[in-house]
Amino acid sequence: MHKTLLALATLAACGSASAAFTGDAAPGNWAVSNLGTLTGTFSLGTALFSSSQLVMIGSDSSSGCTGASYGVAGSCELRVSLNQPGIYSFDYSYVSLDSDGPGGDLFGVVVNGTRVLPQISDPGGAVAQIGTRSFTATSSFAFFLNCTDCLGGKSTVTISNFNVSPIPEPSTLALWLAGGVAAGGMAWRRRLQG
Amino acid sequence: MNSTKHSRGQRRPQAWIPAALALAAALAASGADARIVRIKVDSTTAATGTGQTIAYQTIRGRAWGELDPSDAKNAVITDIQAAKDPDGKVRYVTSFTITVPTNPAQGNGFLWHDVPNRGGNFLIPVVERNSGDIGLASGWQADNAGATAVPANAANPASTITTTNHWVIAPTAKDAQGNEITGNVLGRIINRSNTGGAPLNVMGNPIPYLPSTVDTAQATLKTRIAETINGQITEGTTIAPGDWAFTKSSSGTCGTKTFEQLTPADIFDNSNALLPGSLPVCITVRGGFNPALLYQVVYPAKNAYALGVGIAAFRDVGSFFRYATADDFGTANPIAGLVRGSSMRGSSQSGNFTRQFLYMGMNQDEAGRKIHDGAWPQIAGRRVAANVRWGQPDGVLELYQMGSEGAQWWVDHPDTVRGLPTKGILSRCSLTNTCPKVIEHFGGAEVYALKMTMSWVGTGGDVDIPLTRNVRRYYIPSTTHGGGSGTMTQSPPVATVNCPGNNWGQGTLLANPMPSTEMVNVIRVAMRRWVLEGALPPPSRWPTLAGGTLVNATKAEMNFPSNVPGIPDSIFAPQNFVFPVFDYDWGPEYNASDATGNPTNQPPPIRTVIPMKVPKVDADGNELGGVPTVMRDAPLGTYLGWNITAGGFHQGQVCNYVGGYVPFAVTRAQRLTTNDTRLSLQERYGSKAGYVAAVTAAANSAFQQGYLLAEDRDALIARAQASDVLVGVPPLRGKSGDERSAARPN
Repeated sequence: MHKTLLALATLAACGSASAAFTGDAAPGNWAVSNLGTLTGTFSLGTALFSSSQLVMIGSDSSSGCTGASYGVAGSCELRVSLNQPGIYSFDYSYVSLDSDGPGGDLFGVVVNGTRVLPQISDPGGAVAQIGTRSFTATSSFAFFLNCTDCLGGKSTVTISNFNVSPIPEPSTLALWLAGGVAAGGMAWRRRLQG
Repeated sequence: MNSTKHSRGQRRPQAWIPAALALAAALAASGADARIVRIKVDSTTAATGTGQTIAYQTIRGRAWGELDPSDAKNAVITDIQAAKDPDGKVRYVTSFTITVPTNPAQGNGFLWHDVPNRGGNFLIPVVERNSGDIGLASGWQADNAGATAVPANAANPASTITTTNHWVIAPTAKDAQGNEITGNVLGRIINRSNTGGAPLNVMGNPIPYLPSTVDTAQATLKTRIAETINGQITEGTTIAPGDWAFTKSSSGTCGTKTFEQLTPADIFDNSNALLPGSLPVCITVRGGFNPALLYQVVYPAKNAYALGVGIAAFRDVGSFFRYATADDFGTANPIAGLVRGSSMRGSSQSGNFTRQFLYMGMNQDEAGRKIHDGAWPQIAGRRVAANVRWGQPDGVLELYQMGSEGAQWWVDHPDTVRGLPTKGILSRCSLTNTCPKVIEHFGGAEVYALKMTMSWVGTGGDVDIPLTRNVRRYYIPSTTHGGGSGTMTQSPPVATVNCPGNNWGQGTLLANPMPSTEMVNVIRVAMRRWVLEGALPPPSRWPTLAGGTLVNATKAEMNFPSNVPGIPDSIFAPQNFVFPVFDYDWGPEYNASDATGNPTNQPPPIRTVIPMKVPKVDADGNELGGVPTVMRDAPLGTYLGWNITAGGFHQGQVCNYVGGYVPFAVTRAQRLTTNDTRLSLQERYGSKAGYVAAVTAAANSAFQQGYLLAEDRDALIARAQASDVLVGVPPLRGKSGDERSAARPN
């Protein structure tokens, strides 16, 4: 019986996961937008997809972002969004080319429409930063690259090993729990018999 | 102030006129707002040093200045309205020292305005003289005690002063009738020797305020049985007025007589005329002091110096030597026209002054000009109590010592816990466009003891407060206050580490050798180039919440390893570990946002304890985050920003603001005898060559990132090559490097 429970749980967990930028997470399903108002001579942020990675290049301007100040997530940012619930996991490689370091350009995520704080990039860290992160979104998910005042140089982020897996339903969790209990019980019985 | 007021050479007084009267007349006629009206050079001597390549001279002298209390730029000065002369002006005299190339053509146009630490003499070091820098140091600490004591006849222009310390003559506050203001002052004593009288000191210097009466019935002396780092107090008893006395000191030392041996001649003479030689005020107790107790006195005091006048004096001296050609008497500014750019600079207490100076908006001179292009507060996370009545500028961090009041961060940010207005250190100068470029650096001791992280994450501790493009922040991980010796050895000398402070005691751990010299060398070049050339310094580096390198101060969150020899888990308890910021209630006459006014609550109740964050550490216990350093990245042990107090009133607590060091075992066998979880030198480096290779890699990395100069990179590698590390120690047999790493126990 425990084999049956575990098999059911495994099936339920599989769902329709997207490895890399394929399937439901294919590039065409993402929305790319540049928010805020840049002034002077500026370059807008860009998002370059391949099946294996996403490269985000932030904005920069000769006169800055209206209403923004250095180090604070202002109105000007590149945002790459996907309206899909799931458990999002990825590796990131962030490089700041801002003359005043990574405090000038903030990389992070927006989950269910809310900016996750603190952001992922470390304003007190090295100009090149790497890491692995995972977030659970029940409605939407987005990467952002906020150029704060948008002066002094841009930053880039490369997202790789990207994966979206379904959020387990409560019934699935119950199956997992039952399977675990059954497996534990079997092991306990074997130990008694042994 | 227009230039004509600086060129009144014809107004030089006649020789037969008493100098002081001439000065007063000149000052009355000048109509100045806030400025230096006269300077006098007391001496000019050669400045020499080992390795110096440019001839320098040291010019020592005094400056006389005046302030207009109605000028908005001076309004922030506590008690300025109560310190006026009959003509409505406030006057001061202060010391200065200039270090300048003998041949001005050899100068580079850059001036350091150094803030003396507790009045100490300061000349720019040889490395700066060899670059052609100009040095200026001048007084600011107007408490006339200890090393800031004013020399005899210093106010008389006709005299010649030969001392080298820095001081300010500032007026004391008077009431509307011209009577001296009095108020309560707090003093604390730990007397480990239990002999005779004990001084009322703060950080080893006398509390500057005289008792307004030596009647002990007007004062209160209590004992305390215990105090924890986080402000939990176990009260003792109140000592009856008849069982103690204010007593005299002689040449700065309290007498050895017991209370029972005292005669009327031993009772303290509180005449103002005896200052500063009568300090410190001593206290003698019937039966002697109990070394296990802390004694706390609250006494009515007088001579309330308008300390903020000293801060204005520093401002005005900086402006004069930067911009003026001559004083009102025609005495030429000896460095007139030589300064193209300047930075003020202070270390520790004087670094706190630098932050105080900027907080008060003092980088703007009488003419509205920005005085200094740069500011470099070093190993400083707070401010000095130098603009409050009864302030004790020598205080550092101990219970009831001021310094963390008001905004401690650079940009405007809400003070969520204390409920103070949104403000920042740069708020005032931002309004007048007189903010300097700021480079700050500090390390572990400033985090663990000197309440640094409130400057990074606010009172709420929940957000990395951003910097501005004009601020660079460099955290040098795992350093003691001011950095260590930089010694690379597997056999560090066993020497006593003294905990600074009020008879705090000694540390149980070795002295921390992690240096800050190399980063200081980077900054001195970076600041000069930033100011003169606009070249940007390397980006800021410090531990952050976002980076996961700044955490709550628990052993678990720090991820501090277990079984490090000499480090008990008890040290990580809140009552022993990191000094928090206390939100004191100083009373209704105190402005908690500006940190000005009159603190009438002595001692102040603690409203809230605001815990500090600390850096997370690696498997060796060394701090993560901050600038890359060679000794952190190729370590010989665990370098700590804290130490443990060995005995006495503070036993088992952190050793005030001194760091510690726990070397790695040399061999695996040695490590196993103590169950040390940290790999031995033999296991991690294999051989001397392996150690040198690690140092070389770390040095190259720091250099490539801009946090190490080439000459220091080479010197560090050479130091590793010359070290005794793993000399004569055979590599572990039959194990590759990977296997050695895998040998680390959990």
